[in-house]
Amino acid sequence: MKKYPCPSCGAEIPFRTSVASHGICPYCRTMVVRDDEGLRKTGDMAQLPDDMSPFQLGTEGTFNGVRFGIAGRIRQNWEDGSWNEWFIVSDDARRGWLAEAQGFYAPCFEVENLSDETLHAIGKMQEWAGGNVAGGDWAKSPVGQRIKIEKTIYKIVDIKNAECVAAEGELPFSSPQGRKTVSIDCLGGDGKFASVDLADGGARVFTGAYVDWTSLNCRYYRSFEGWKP
Amino acid sequence: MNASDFGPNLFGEEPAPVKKAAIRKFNCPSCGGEIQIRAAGHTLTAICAHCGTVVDAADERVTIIDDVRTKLRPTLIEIGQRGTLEGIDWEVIGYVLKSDRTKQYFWDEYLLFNPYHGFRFLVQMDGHWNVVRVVKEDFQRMGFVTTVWHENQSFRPFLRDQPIVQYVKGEFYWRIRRGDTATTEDYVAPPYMLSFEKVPGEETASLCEYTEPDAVQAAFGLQSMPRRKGVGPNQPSPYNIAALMKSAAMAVAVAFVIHMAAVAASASQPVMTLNKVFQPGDQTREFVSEPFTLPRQSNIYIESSAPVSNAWAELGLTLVNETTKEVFELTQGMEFYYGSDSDGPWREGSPTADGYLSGVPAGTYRMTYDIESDVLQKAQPLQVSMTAKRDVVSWGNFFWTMFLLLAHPGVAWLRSSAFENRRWENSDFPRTASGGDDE
Repeated sequence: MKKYPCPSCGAEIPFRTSVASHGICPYCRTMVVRDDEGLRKTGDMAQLPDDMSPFQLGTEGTFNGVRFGIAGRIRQNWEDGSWNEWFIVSDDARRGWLAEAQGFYAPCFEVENLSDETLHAIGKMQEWAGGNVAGGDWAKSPVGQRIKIEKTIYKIVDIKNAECVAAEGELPFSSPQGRKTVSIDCLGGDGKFASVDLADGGARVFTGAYVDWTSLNCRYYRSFEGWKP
Repeated sequence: MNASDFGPNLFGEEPAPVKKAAIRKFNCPSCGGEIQIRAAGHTLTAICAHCGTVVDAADERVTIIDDVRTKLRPTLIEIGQRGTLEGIDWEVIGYVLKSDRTKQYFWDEYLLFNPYHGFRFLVQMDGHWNVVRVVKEDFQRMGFVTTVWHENQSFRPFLRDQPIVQYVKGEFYWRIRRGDTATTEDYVAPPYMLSFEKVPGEETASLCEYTEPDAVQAAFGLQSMPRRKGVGPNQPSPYNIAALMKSAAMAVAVAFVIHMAAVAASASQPVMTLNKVFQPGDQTREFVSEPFTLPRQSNIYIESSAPVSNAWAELGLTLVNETTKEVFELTQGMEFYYGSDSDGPWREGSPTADGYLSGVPAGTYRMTYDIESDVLQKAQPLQVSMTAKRDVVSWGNFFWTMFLLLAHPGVAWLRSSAFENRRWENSDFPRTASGGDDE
């Protein structure tokens, strides 16, 4: 772990991973970007509302036999609630997200080198959403349609306009308050999960699965008075 | 934490544990009373425990969704109560009273929360309980007529409904208010039920598992429980008919094999024959046979016949052991009548008779026999023939064995069928009397 002085308050900002470029000071909530010279302030981040999530920065878990650790979090709001996107890094240096919504946990890792078929499907989604689902014609909505990602067929189950309300820890990109994302959730058989995120003019694809708490085999999670895991 | 756990991306530090549960509190915008949020970060809708106002608690700006103040109703399990189901502690954080579209049937849905394991529902209707979890899966469904597969089980369509939210209290991770409706389609594979709930733009699949009332009562320490009525849609049958039929079939097969082996191994040797014309003028009607030997303990099968015609004859047989004087007795009655009346010709009885002497020990025997007949009384001769064989396998025993083996499964099958009929009478697809389908 590396620690850098916060350009705003001088406190130490820990960077657990080498792959994260952005961070948030845990003391004064200054947003920073990391480069060769150290940290540079890019803005201020709101306080995260306290919640009953069992995860926290530094929590380790296992998915598909791969050990991962939690390095950061984005809290996303949408029309009907909010959810946590925990930034995870696996011990084989892959970047991913552990989506936590309504008590469901879906760890997933980014798919690099998308096939032409998947790119084409994503292109059509981008065209439809145009960066904002509210502007899309719901009669032509891709919800309910099927999409092939990495040889697996998924059903598009829901498309949300999301907005970052707060973040903590370190992140692979800048996620200031109010950053807008179109988040497309896809379900496969056997609890397989895929997510297509349209943001900042680009698209990222993640695949993973819905798993239960027990199978994540977590360490260094939060403990709550009166609750045992 | 061991640094080597993390390859190139070392975390290398144990985070400080957080001790307090994050209970969010704010004041009801309607009555000013305190509202407690137990599932902070998840809860969207909360109902004031003091005035019943439904508020949107998604963020700091708490707004009123439904200000129809309602009296707080007591429920069997109260908000905040905890119980352990299948080894996991759950806290009741929400309660919904739902009814069907016709408002004839009402049921309770308790929302359960555990910060690690997420949410479950505990549903009670007519004393039947289900623990329910949302399932994230792309189900392949073809209308509401064919079965749905889930984890190698086939679920059969059971009931379609439009439930209505009648009353709410506590807190929920979705927006809810009285009068909310949805379309549900239930499929059953006892003890499970798959329920698909559709609202515009969204479909949620849930897996319900039938839970014995005792387990719920013990989990939440409840004083009294609603009485169980009828058969629940996914109540497991107390008759494991498939296993019972399988074991009965096995038993029948084994009994058959044993029987056939006994047939093959049996000697079925004649030990004595009799073919005698009795005369009405005989000095005595009691005769004694020549001695014969039974080489080992065996049964003796005796078959007699006499050409009686509208007459009767009775052959009394007594087998006497020459050494021990042990006695075995058997009577062979032959009577045969026939005639004709207004219903046409009739016949009754038979001119033959048969029977067994069982467990006759090895030894030398003589057969004493006597005859009584109305033929002899009418001063006519009577021919009687008789054969005695040892080591004869009895089919009667076999059929008795079959009957005993199959009686229990047969009764169980009838009961199971009645149970299934009671289950399916509440369905959109009631079973017809003949349409018995035994899984």
